[in-house]
Amino acid sequence: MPVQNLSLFYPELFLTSLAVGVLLLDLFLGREQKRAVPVVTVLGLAVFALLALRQWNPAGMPQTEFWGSYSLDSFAVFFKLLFAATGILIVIISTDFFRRVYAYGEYFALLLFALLGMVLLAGAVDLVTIYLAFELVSLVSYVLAGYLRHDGKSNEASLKYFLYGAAASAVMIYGMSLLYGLGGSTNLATLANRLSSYPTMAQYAFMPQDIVISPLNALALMMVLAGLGYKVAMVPFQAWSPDVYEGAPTPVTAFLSVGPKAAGMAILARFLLTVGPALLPQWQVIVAILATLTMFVGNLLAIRQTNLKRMLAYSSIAHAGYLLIGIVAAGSQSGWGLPAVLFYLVAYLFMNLGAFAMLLLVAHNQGSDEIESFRGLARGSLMYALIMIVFLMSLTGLPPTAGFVGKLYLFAAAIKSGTWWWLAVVGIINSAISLYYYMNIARLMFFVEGETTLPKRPAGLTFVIWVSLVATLVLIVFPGPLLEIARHAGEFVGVQ
Amino acid sequence: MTIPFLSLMVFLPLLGMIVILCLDKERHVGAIRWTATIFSALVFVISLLALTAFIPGDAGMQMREGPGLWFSAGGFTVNYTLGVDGLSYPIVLLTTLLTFLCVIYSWRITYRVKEYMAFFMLLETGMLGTFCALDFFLFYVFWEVSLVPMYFLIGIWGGPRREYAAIKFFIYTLVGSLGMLLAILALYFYSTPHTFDMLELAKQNPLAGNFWVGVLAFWGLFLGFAIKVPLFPFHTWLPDAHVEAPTAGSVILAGVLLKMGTYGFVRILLPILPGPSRYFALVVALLALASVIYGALVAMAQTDLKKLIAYSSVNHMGYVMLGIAAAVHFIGAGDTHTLSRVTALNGAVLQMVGHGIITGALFFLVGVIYDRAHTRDMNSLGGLAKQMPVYAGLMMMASFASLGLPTMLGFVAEFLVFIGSFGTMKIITGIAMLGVVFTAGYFLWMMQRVFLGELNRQWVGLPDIDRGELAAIVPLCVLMLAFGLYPQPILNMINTAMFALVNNMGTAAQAAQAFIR
Repeated sequence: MPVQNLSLFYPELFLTSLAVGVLLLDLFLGREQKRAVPVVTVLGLAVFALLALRQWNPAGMPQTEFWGSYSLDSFAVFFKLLFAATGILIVIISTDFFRRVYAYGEYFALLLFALLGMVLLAGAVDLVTIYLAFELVSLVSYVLAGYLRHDGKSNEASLKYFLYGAAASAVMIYGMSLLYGLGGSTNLATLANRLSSYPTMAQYAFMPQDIVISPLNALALMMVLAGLGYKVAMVPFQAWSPDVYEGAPTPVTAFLSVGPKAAGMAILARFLLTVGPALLPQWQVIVAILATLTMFVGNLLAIRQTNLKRMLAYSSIAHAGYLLIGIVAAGSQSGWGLPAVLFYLVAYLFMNLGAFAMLLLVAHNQGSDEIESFRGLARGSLMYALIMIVFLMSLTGLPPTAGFVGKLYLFAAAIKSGTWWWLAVVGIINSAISLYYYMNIARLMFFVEGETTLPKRPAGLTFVIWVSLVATLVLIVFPGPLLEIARHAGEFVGVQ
Repeated sequence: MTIPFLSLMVFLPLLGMIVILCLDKERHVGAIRWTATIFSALVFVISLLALTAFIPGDAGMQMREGPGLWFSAGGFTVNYTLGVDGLSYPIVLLTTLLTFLCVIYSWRITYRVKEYMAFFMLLETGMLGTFCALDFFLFYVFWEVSLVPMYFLIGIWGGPRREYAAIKFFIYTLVGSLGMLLAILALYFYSTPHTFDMLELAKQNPLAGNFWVGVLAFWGLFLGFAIKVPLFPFHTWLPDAHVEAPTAGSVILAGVLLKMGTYGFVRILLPILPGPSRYFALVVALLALASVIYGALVAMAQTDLKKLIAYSSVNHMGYVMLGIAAAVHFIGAGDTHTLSRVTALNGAVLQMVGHGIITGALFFLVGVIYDRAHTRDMNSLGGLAKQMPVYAGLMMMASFASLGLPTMLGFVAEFLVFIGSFGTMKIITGIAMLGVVFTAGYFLWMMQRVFLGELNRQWVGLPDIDRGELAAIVPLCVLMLAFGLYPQPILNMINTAMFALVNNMGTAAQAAQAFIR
C-alpha cells in the first residue's frame, strides 16, 4: 500500500525538519549565541521522543508505510526511543568538547542527520530503504569522525572509516542485488516467502543429502553480512574500529560505539530473523561462529591497549559479539533472544556512555586519552573513581549492575535455545577475560601511587555521568519494566 | 510484628558504607573508624539477638523474609527471600563476629582509612547476603558483591605483590562463579514451574532424569564452589591472596570467604543435585584427600609464616570437603549409613566454623608479629617466647587448636569428620588421618622455629601484643576453647539441619538410582 497516512511518519518528518532547522539556526546566530544550538537540539530530540512514544502500541499489529518498505512496529519504536536518548546524551557530552571548534552548530545538525539515518534503518524492511538509511548513517559518520579538521589522527580516522565503509557497502549492495535476483523482490518479508518456496534451490546442492546449501544463497548472505557486520564491528569486518575510535573526537567515538552500532544490530537482527531462515537454514551456524570470533578478538586485543579509546573500541567489538549471541538464540524462536538483545543495548548505552563521559572528564583535566591518565584517581576524587568502577563492573557483567542483567538474559537465551548453549560458555569465558583489562583501569585508579584530581568538571559531563550511573544501577533494581517493553518490541520481528 | 533480623544484618553495613563515603577522608578519620566499628558492632549484636528467635530444633528455614517479588519479566521470576537454618546461622554468627573483630583490629590502618572501611562494610553485606539468600539470583548477586571489595582490600592495602594477587584472586573466583551462573540457568530452565528458589529446587530435583545436563550443572557449580574452597587443583590463588592481603583481609578471606565455597556444596550441590553429587562423591573425596595431604606437605616446606597458615587452610578445608563427599558417597544397594553421613556433615560444618575462628586468630597473630618485626621469615625469628610471652601463649593456643589438640574446637570438628567419613569411605579417611600427623608436624616445627631457641638479638625490645590486638584475638581464643570443651550449642543447630538434609537426600535416593542408570 502506498502512503496510507502520513501522520505515521511524523516523528521522522519532525527529525528531518529539526536537523535542517538546526543547520539554519546556526547560520543566523552570532558567535556568542551559538550556545543555543545544543539546547534546541536536545529539546527537539525530546519532542521527537514524545512523538515516537505515541506510536508505541504493543497490542496492535505492526503497520507499514511507503509500499511496505518502512515498518512502524514496536521494534522500530523501541529503537526510535533508544536513539532519542542516545542523541540527547551525546549532545550533552559534546557541548564542551566542541566549544572551541569552528562550525560548532553544524556538528549538531550532522548528529541529527545521523540519528535520522539510524531511525530509518531501524524501521526499514526493504533492501532499498535499508541501503539508503545505511548510507545516510555512514556518510554522516565519516564527516563526524573527521570533525577535528586540523588533527591528523582525526583525518586518518575519517579516511579509513570512509574507505572501509565504501568497500563494505559496495559488497553489501552486490549481495542485495543477488538477493533480488534470487527472490525477485526487495521487500524482506516477500523475499523470505519466495525464497522458502523455491524448490529449485536443491539443484545447487553439493553437500551431503540432509544439508542443503545453495552456494549463491550463502554468498548473498555473506555479502550482506559483510556490510551490516562492518557497521556493528563484527569480526572479520572490525579492523577499522580501533583506528577510527582512537582518531575521532571522543564524543563522536562515544556516539559511534552506541549509536550506529545499535542501529546496525537492529537491522542485522531484522534481516537475519526475517530472511535468514529462508535464505540459508544454517545462518545461525555462521553467525554463531562469527560471534565467537568477535568476542575473542575484541577481548584478547583489548588487553594490550594503553589508550582508553582504543581499549573501548576493542571492548565494543566484544560487546557486539555478546549481542550476536542473542540474535543467534532469537533464531531458535524461544522468545528470549531478541528481548535480551534489546535490554542489553539499553544497558550498554548507559554503561558505555558513562565510561566515555568519565574518559572525557579525565581527559578534560589531564589532556590525555591514555589509560595512564586515570592513575591515582581514587586519591584525587574517590567518588568519580567509584562511579567508574560501577561502569567497569557493568561492562564486565558483574552484579549489581545493568550489564549483569543484560548478560544474564543473553546467556539465558543461549541456554534456552538448546542448540546454542555453548555460546553462553564462550560468553562466560570472554567475560572472565574482559575482567582483566577492565580491572586494569581499577588498578590504576586505586592501587598505584599518584594522584589525579578533577578540578574542572563541566556540567554536561557530570550530568551524563550521573544519569548513566543511576540508569546502570536502577536497571538491576527495577529491570522489570524495561524487560517487558523489550519483550513487546521483539514480538513481531522475524518469521511469523 | 517480627523484626526482620536478616535484612537488618545484610543491609546495615551497606548503610554504614554510605555514611562512611559521606565523611571527609582527612578531617573525619576518627568518625570513619567509629562509624565502621559501630555498624559492625550493631550487626554483631543483631546477629546475637536473633538467637532469641532461632529454634535449634527446627530443621526448616527460620526468620524467613519473603518471598517478596523482586521482578518478574522477560521469563525470569526473581524473589527476595532470606532465611537461615542450622547450617547458615552459625556461619552468619562467625561472619558478624569476625567482621567486627577485623574492624577493631583495623583501627591501626592509617593509609586511606575511608576507602578501607567502606570496602569492609560492603564486604560484610556481600558475605551475609550470600549466607542468608534463598533465591539463586539473590545469592549470585551477593556472592559477586563480596568479590569486589576483597579485590580492592588486597590490591590497595596488600603486600609487595598485591596487584598480581588481587587480580589473580578476582579472575579465579570470577571464572568459578560464571560456571556457577550457567549451572543456575540450567537448573532454572529444567525446573517446572521455572524457579530460582533454592528450597523449591531441592524439592523438585529438576535434573533427576537428565544425566548429561545434570553432569554439566554439577561441574558448573562444582567449579564455582571448589575454586572458592579451594579444592586441590584450584587452590593456587589462595597462597598469593592470603599472603598479600592485609591482616584483616586474610582473616576474612580464610575465615569467611572460603566458607562460601563449602557452604555452597552443602546448601546447593547436595540437596539440588543429589544424583550427580553421589555419582561424583569419590572424585570430590579424592580431591579433598589431595588437598589434605598436599596442603600439609607444602605448609611444612614454608619459611614464610603467613604462607604456612595459608597452606594450612588448604589442608583444613580438605577435611571439610572430605566430610561432605563422604556424606553422599553411595556404597551400594540397601545403603544405610544415615548416622555416619549426618556425623560427617556435622563435622564438616563444625570444621567450617572452627577453621574460621582458629585460622582467623592465626592470621591476626601473624599480623601482630609482622607489624613489629616487619618480617614473617621463620628462619630469622626465634626465641620469641621469652620476648613476647603473651603473644607466644596465644599463638601456641591457636596452633594447638588448629592441629587438633583435644579440648579445642579443631579436634571436635576433625574427630566428627573422621568418624563420620569412616562409615562410607574407609580407605580415603584412613589416609586422610595421616594428614593430621603432617598438620601437627608443621605447626610444631613452626612453633619451634618462632618461639623456642635463642632469641635473635635483633628482636630484643620487641613489644608484646598490645591491647587493641588482644581485643581482636582473645575472643577468638576463648571461643576455640569454650566450644572445644562444650560444642553442644553449635552442634544442636547444625545437627538438626544436617539430619534433615541427609533424610531428604535419602528420599531422593531413588532419583539417584535413576541417575546412575
